[in-house]
Amino acid sequence: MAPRDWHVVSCLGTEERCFAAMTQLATRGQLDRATLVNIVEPEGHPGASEIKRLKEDRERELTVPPLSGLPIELSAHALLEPYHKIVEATRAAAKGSAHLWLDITALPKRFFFPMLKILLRTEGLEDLVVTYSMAESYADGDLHQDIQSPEFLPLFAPDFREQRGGAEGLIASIGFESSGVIQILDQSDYAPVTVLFSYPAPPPFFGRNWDFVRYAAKSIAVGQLDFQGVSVIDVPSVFDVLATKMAGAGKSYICAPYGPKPVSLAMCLYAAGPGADRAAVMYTQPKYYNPSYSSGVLSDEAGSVIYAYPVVLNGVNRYD
Amino acid sequence: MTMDAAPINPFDSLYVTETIDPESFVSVFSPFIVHDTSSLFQAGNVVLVGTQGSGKSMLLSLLKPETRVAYARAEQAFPIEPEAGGRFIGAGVNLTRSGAIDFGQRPIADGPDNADAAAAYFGDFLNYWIVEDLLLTLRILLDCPAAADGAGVVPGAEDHLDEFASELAREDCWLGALDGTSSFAGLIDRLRARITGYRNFFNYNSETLGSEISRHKTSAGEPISVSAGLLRSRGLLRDDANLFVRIDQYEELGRLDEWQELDYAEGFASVIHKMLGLRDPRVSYRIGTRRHAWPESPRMQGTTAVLEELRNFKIVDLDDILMPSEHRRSFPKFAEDVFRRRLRWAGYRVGTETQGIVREVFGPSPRPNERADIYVGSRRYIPPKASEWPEEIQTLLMRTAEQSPLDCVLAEAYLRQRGTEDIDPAAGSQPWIDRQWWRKERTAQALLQLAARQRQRMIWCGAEDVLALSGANILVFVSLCQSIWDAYLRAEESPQSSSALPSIRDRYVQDEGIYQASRYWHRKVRTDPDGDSRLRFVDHVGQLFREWLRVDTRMSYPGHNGFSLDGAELRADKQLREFLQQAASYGVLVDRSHSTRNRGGNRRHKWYLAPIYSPYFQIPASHVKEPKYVGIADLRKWLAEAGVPGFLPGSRPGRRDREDEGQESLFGTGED
Repeated sequence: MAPRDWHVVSCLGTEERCFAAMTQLATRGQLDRATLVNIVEPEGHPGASEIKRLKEDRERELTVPPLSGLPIELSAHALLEPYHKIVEATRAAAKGSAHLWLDITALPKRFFFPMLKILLRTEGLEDLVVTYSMAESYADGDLHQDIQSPEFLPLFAPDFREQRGGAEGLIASIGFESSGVIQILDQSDYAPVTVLFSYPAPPPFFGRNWDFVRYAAKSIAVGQLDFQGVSVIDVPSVFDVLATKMAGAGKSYICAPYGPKPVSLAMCLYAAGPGADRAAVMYTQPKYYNPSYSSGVLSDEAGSVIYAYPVVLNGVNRYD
Repeated sequence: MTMDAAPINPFDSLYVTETIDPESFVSVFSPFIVHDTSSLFQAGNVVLVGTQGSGKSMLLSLLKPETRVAYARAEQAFPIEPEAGGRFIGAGVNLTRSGAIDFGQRPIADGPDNADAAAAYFGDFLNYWIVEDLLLTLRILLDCPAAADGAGVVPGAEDHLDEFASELAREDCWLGALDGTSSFAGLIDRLRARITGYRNFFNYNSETLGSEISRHKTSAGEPISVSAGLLRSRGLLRDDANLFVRIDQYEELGRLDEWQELDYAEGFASVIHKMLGLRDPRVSYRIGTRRHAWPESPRMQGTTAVLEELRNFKIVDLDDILMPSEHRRSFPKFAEDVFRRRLRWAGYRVGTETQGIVREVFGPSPRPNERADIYVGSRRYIPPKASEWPEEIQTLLMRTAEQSPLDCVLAEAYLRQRGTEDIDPAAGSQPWIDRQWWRKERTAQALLQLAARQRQRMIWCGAEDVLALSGANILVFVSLCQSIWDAYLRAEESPQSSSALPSIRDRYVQDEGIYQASRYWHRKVRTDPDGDSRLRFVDHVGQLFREWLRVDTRMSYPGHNGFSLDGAELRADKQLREFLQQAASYGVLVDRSHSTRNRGGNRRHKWYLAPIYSPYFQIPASHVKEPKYVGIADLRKWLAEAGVPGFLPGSRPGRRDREDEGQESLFGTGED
């Protein structure tokens, strides 16, 4: 891609990796401006003081090169706010921007799913790239607490007429925290249930995947589970898997994005695009995220490991 | 199914759903509790209350046409006789899966009346959804004449559908929105188009709802009533057939307060209350909800009037029905029916006689002395020495320990409690045996202490233990059977592969299965909404209960595997009350109202962990004597110690946890 002046939409989070992509762009002199979604945690968060400290650390990063002096705007939100606010903020951010860079690294699914859907419909958008920065390590304990009841993600309720009597399928990607999938399985009669196994998965994820299977096998007969290996990072290939599974199956599907974020991104792109008439997305939003969700930015000999997925190029949606 | 292949676990899948073939569904589905919930199949509105796993969804599924069709296709009689209320058609809405709770996420109208406006649209959406579902129900039934006949659909109704649809579309209740509809299929499409209009708006596929929707908002419940009336007056439905309208997941409205800026939840609930308040004999509503989610004073939309129990609705509380009491023991029979059906479905030879079948497979649970012997094993139990006990008492204890370790532990407790004055070893006095109630109330605690001293895990096995640990929850019961069967299949070198009923009598195999089931349910707490907070609390009190019972060597407090709170105090603390009620509604805690031991005191609420956690925490499942009396401050201290968000020092309750400001909470206070 030719160098451009990008407008980055990202998240002011607690994780060290949340500005990695934006910093790379700024270093290369390609960052025009940024909008940072600052999500205020619900009252009573047990890690409130830690969150405050970590966010102050992140905000300090904005005051030193290469980010200092750049026009960076903060957009305040509440995690569980009505989703029209997310939509309005996205529209405001997209206004007048032809080249957008959506960094989903630290954005909760409740935000990046509707944001991406709105951006895909924004007229005048020439380029849209989605980025995701890998962390060096993840917290040992739980990554989040207190999931809520299953709900359709904003803007991803079914556009289709529901089938009767358990005729909808479920496609769930699983990962580090899959307790929400268990809740969805417990409360519904979806069949078949396709489980997207991320592969190759690093050891902690690998173990958790099998934990999920052992646990899920208590709720439903293993024969009703269909396992499908998918790449952790290759969004186009996961998109193809979803398209193959759902297209022409003659039924509608509920997608449950619990695995690695690039897999969720593929679900989002499919359900917002060609699968809109047959795929809805259901999720159990956690109420509290672990302030120390991850640490560091994964790096290799070439530098920080940041994946960039071109979604719209020269006005053409590559996933439509 | 034959038994030629490797033996399978009849409890392989916990849930029985419509996804299995109709024949299997009918075989496995137990209609047992239908007899205890007969009002569900009579005309009139019913609020069906039950914890997760109580069988609520199973009962509501009887109202779905797919279930009736499954029975017809399997050529089995529908579980409810036509004369007993079996003649009905059902329609319904699931508030989550329909997207109804998206209302309020995107403003429809500006201005101060936004919440009221949203409620009006919410009612309109429900009307269209339910009437469409009613028409789809008709379609499903008409595709299976036997099912249609059982439901009370008049033969030949198929020929009058278009006429009916055309007339229904012209009814005033639609305010002209469906004018010009001339066919049944066309009416379904028009109804669906309206639903799609809403969905497109909430999915931001369209910028406005459209003037058509804004101008023609129907009144909550009215089109449903009109449809029901017309079905009968046009001769499609028999006059004696009921229309049951299911509204499921009512409790989810309670969560909207947290997600939205305005008080939508109360407004949306009031729409549903209004439907019930119509008291239209043509339609009977069935509201499925978790315990404590139904408000004490359900206000109706557009008025300050509230629904009245018995006048506007009845409450059918499955937990109350199934929980064993002095006068009622429904659950064991229900469980045995489920057990028998599962075995028969898996290909085992079982008769029609249900009683005793769980015992036949799992055997009886060990008696207390047998349990004590298991804990002692080949190692002798040596009673501790106490300086205040004379030599002859020590000798008596040693002798007792040889004969019955359980008696010895009870004797130690008695001596610590009452001293040695009234004990005459020479005369053979043994009040810890003779005082039957004293003994009975302390046996479980004595076994806990004995197992702890012998460094053994308490054992759970046999039919009585399985039923007790189920806590009147059918899902827990099936899960226990599943785990025991798994353990049996793992342990047996060559499990029986014939169709003969197996006899799973190895106590250690059963105990292993039960322990695994207990671990599963403990872990499962996390998977429910707000489950991490509940799990922290459960872990905290589970450990407290065990410690209290273990260190109380006088056995003065054998009931301290639960706690009791003053009802008035609890009522005043909304945040704490809702936390405990939510725990009860998810089946994690069991709550009961009880009278106080203190003269003139308020009624109290006692709380126990659900019995299935007993093996995990190694505490007795039975409840004897008084639970521990505690105050609100104690509870708040435990919650803070457990690290439950919202109860930590310095934390401020969330918006929905603060006391109401002039509005009634959607969640009732739970006073019995």
